[in-house]
Amino acid sequence: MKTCNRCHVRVVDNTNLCPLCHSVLTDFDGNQSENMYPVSDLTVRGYNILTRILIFASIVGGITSVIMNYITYNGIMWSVLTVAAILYFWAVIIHSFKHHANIAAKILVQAVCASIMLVIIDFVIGYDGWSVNYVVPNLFSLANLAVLIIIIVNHLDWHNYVMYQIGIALLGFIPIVLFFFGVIDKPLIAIISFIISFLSLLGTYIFGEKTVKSELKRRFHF
Amino acid sequence: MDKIAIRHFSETKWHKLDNTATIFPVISNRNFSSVYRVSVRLKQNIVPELLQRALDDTMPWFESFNVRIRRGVFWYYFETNKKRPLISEEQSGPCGYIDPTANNNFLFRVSYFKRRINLEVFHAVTDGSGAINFLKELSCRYIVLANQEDSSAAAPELPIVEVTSDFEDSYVKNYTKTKKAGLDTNRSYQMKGDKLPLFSTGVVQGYLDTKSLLNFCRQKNITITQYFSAVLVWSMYKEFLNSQPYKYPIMIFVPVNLRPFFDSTSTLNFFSSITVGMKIERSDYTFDEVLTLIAKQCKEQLTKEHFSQKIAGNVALGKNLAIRFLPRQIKNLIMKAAYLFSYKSTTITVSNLGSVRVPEKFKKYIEHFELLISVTDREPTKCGIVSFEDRLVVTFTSRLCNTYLQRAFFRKLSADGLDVVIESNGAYYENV
Repeated sequence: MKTCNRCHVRVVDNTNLCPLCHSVLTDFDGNQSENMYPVSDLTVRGYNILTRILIFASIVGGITSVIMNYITYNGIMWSVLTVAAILYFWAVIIHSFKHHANIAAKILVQAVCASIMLVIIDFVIGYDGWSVNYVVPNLFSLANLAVLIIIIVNHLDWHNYVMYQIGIALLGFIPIVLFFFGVIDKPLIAIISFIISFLSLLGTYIFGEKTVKSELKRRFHF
Repeated sequence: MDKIAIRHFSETKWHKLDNTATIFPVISNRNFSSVYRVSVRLKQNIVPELLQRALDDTMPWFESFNVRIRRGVFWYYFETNKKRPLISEEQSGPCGYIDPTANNNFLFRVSYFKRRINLEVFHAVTDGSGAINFLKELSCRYIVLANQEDSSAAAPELPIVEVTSDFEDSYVKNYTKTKKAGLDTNRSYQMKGDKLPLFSTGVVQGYLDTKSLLNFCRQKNITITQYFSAVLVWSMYKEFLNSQPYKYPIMIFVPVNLRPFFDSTSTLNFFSSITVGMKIERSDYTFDEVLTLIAKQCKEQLTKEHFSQKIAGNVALGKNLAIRFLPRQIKNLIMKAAYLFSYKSTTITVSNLGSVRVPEKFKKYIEHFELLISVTDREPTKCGIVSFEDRLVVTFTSRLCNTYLQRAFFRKLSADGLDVVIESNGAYYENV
């Protein structure tokens, strides 16, 4: 141990400077002590270099396409597509590439993001309703079926998927609601989507094991 | 049917977060970890294999630690974690963020470095008093394993320290319809200065002799916490304000364990706080003046009525039906906003865990306990105090490059005739 004559304290650290005032320590008493803390790693950063490059490229790409679109405007707002695609890309990166995210959650997020993307494409290239009439309801039905397959294969883990299963089933009701509001004029696919969603919920109610029901009880506690 | 299959079909246990814990999952992130560390320093280097065994043996007695956090539609909740907590060697700085998706989903971390065992806990799980109990059990079990000739011998069947498995939310249990204390939104003095590199925390520890400190405090008829709070106000007044008046008061946030006040044995959070401090209006305060004022404020606030009012204010919100049925995401927004309104109300946190007692036969293996509290950008320095036998450890964790406060604090202690020994984690040498 050494002594700092300005702070009037003794210092355990294996050093020549006082950690409090940085003056030189004196009166070494012969007891060399070991440092009790690991050397800290100062290279840690908020984001790694790949993330930084991607953020930079996204912002530059987005702004450039908006400006180019503005300068060469010929009636098509194609830059909206570029920006939407960049945002969709980030949604995929942030959510779907995270290895710990629940696979049913990934399906749910993909179904939502992809349908938004599709509707935007439909709008930009002159809206004629193909997205909401056909593609989006089909996408929801597909998502419903995908989750059902996962649950059948992994039925012991059903309770881990059930919240996302319900979320996707609720998505499947959206097209039929849109039909009643007149947004959709060809209801066939919407009705199929509705039936699949309804069966998914009914199946959960009838076949759901105790684990599934207790999971729902926990998730909805208030 | 084998054991694993049985586990699959057994009912998953779960419990709600206690009233105070609800805020922590909302506001915490890498830069605001809400993690504190209690450590024990032994006299011999730690053997990792034995520490892992000690942890495995400790876990069954502490169900409140054996959880992972889940998101419900209306609230977060804890669910039994079926994985196994693993120990690791301490590598990064203290009190780092505990990612609920990493670390086998556990909300605490056990690490070791040379002679020290660290327990880092996310504050939603339990408070300092719950954590120190866990650490006591873990370290006593480790000592038993490390100090017997035949290390394959059976571990003690019953817990060594006093253990309860009480999941009571004591805030709700002790809720009375009394006058409600509101949120403190008054601004206080905020310490400023250059910051250390991202995610690194400076640690300065001071070792004091418990007996001489107690004698000193007895002479002045004050408690240790009162004395330290007064020294902190004094140091800030002298070092940061240069003895000049300032428009906002220096306010010290002192967490208080509520278990003794309400006769609770909850293993969840059950603490509240008092805030003491003063607005500097003159340039000629004496230390005794500050000390008398702080001691008086402490005594006034350390009453059951004061805490009942604070509990009433918090619990009433959680009982409100309209709030209960708001989706969790909207609740989060409200809580973040409420937090933003109150977060400048304190200058520094001083937490005193008091003296730690272990059974007689373990005392000779233990050097001391210590408490480190995570710091934030708004409150860049915090102070944790624990005593064990004749050694009291004061630990300053800080995000600031300068050590003005720590320096003034320890200089004041030694000027008052106390023998101070300093140890640091080396963060301040790299900036010389």
